[in-house]
Amino acid sequence: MNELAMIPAWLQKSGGDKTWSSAPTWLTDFRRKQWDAFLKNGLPTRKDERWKYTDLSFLTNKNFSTAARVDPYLLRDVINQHRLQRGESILLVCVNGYFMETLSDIAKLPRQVIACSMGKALQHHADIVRANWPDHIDAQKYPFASLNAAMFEDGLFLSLPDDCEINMPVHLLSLVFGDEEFIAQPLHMIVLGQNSKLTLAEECFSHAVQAYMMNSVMMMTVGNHAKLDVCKIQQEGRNAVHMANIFITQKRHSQVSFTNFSSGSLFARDDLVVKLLEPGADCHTSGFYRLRSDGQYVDYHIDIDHAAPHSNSEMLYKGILDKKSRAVFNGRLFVEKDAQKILAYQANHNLLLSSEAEVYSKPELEIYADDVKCKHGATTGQIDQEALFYMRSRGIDKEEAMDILLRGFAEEVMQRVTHPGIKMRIQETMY
Amino acid sequence: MLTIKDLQVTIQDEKQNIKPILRGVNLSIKPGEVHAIMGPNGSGKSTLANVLAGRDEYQVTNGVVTLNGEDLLALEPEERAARGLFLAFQYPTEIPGVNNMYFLRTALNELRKRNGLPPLDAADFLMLVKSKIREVGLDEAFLHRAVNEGFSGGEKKRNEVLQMMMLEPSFIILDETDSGLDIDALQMVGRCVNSLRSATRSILVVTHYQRLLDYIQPDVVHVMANGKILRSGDKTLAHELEAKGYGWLESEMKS
Repeated sequence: MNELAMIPAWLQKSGGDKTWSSAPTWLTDFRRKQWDAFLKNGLPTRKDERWKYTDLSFLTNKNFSTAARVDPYLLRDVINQHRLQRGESILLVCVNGYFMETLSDIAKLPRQVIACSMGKALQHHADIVRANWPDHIDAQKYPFASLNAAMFEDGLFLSLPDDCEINMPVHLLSLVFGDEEFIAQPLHMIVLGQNSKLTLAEECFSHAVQAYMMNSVMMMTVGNHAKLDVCKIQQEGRNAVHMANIFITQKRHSQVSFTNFSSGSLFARDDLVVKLLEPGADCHTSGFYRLRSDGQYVDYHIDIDHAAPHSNSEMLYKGILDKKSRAVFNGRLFVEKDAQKILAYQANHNLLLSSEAEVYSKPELEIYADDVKCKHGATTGQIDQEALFYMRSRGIDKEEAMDILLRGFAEEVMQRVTHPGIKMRIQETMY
Repeated sequence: MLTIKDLQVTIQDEKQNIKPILRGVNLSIKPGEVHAIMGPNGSGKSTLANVLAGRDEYQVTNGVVTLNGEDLLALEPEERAARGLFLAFQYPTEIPGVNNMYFLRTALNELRKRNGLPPLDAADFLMLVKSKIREVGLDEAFLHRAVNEGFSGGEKKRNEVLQMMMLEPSFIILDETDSGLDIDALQMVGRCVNSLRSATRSILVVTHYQRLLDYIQPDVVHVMANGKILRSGDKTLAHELEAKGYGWLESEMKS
């Protein structure tokens, strides 16, 4: 009962008995196990290394209700405003964690691609869902993923068959709409068959000013020689809590690029968990956070597991912090015993604009193989006064020069985004 | 054009000790004139150049500096640039992530805006920058790199001269632009500076060596030591210094 006491009552009440009449037994079992594990472990505390700097008190201070579906008719305007400019894209919309088929460009997708709600996928494509479902989620490491697995009601299911290329970006707009203090818990699954190719821009957006909680899980499987390019843009409401667990499994010679931009929400915690399962898998992760207000917090945990030889990975995370904001970077690289010929790189660089901003940067390596090349580094500094003076001496005023320098600092990450429409959206949110 | 009266400047070192660097500099440069300041290491030449450009780590404890009658020391660095002041730095700063061409265009258009001119459109700017970069002997590829990042010493100096050619300032300070340059580059600097010489533009050349002054003929040469101008004369003073060394003047002053 002691452990139970650590979980706020609203959370205990809302979970545990979620079943769909149509859900397959294996899923019902999985959900029950995850819920039990979540209850057993309780909420993470600051004694837990992975949660050392994380203040989860909002969970006990708040009383989040379950987010409801929204009438699509109310959303047409806000969604049209959010279409990417410059170049074509395919818009898929989730609102409060529910996939909105009627607001999505399903018809623009190649015919062999499946895009539907998780609910529908479990009815019509249960075999694909099951084949790509994890055997297990470690509730101790990823408690909010366990919580999500136990409680999710919907999300996007997107599946590309073998040899399928979508030649324009898929724009997944995850919108939060409403003025109640609710929790939304979507679970998305994206499956790329062999030789398939997808560019995905996941945009989490809300105008909401109240506190709400987004607790999302994304499960992605990338088949042999497939190529996945993900750009996540997090601009939740300014008092929001954003929790995300992203699980990527990569097969032989697959290539993944994952770039995470974060400027919204009061609290953001992203756990990116990559498993390089087979030889030749290549994964480039990067991120950029821009914190502007007192109390704003961002926490990136990246776990890359080299389970196979000849696999490469990269982590490049940068951030600019102002006021009394805080950022945590924890990049963890794990090289298994027989995973030889590994190339890996890990970097975290921070720019502090105020004396009250704080960064906790922790690159970690855990290597059991001996033929591994790995570089890592972390820096935290202030704006380069020399560069600032240099620019001002050429007639550029101080504010503009600062702006140019901040953009310059971000450029290394920004240049990984090639689609002009996605790039423009990020630039709108970051500066 | 530029008048400096009894300028005294100190700097605070890491141990918080206050160290005087300029101990009463007097200088007057008229429109169209080229002045050179020579002097040994640590004499305060570069400090003078940087104080004029507005670097704020120095404390001006006394003196007045006016540019075209206006109190220069009261202006921000960008305002000084807008009044036509330009310093070619001894050690140009590298700015990672900031594209060189973008930087040039922003600087040029900011100056135009401050002077009530419309921004140069992209095509006109490109034409201008392509012709100027040829004059300074840099490959066009340098326009697409980050400002000074990974440039060699000589390339950085050429990039300074490119900025000068683009911005066409009316008061130019060259802070040891010749140091680390080969003969070809030295000639290029001379050619570019001479192309800008006019009746309304003044130039202050800070250098250790007389060599650059073979290419840029000064009207007046000043010798600076220990934070003061010891002697001023015509260009023959530079030759005399080259022959006798700085020790000659310093000992002469003491006796």
